[in-house]
Amino acid sequence: MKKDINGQKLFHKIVDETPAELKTQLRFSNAIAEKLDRMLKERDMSQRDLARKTKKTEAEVSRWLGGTHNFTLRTLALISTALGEDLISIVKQYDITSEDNPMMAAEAEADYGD
Amino acid sequence: MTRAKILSVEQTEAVGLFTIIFEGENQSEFADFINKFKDDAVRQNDLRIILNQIDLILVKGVAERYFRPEGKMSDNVCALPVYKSGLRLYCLRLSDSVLIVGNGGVKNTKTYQENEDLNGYVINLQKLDALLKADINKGIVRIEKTEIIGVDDKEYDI
Repeated sequence: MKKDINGQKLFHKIVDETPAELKTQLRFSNAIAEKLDRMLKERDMSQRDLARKTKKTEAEVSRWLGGTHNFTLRTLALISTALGEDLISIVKQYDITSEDNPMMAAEAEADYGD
Repeated sequence: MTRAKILSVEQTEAVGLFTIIFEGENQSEFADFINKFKDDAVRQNDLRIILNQIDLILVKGVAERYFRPEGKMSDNVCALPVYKSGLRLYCLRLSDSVLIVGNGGVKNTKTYQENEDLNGYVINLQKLDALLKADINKGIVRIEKTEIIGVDDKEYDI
């Protein structure tokens, strides 16, 4: 077998073997960071502007945008309030159309853009 | 001073990912970084986070926001960080489409300069950055989309 001098095979092996829950966590973190980045651009706001509005440091805002931050609900609420738009949304689906199916299903899922 | 070459790791439509290898070594700096932490029970998860970010960058592009600036304002040295644990992979972000990944480790001091290993990794990338800039200015090396043209047989004294 050819030697993996540049590390490409090892890199892909570890990515492929990453536990699904960690991959999901990173997908959420990156989706939130991407949406925050888009919201700042739409408002022509810098990281410094958001830091001022949220009374956080620029370093903290930079962490939010990095794509690996483990957001708390408190932080999501803080950012959403500062920008006047929810960073994530909860989608509720209620199936109440059939008497044969009186179960109400509620499903919450993060809106993580594309 | 050691001689180093730039090695391609992967090319996608959006990104060219490169690393460096020092003369006499049998693996690149990127491979050395992965091997240091892949079996480390404490850091293994953080390594996975960094490598999955690189996997995403290969698709999305080398956006500045993924990185923490390191080195000096005048250079392109930055790091892919895991903030809580302090694991850092030092990189050269040459454009939105070209990334050179170096080596890294755990930053458990206030600044990377206080850690001999980390300071060495950053200095290596700073030197390479300066040498690449000089070659680009002379027209010997060009960055075209996802490629670094003119470095295939080139060795740098770092």
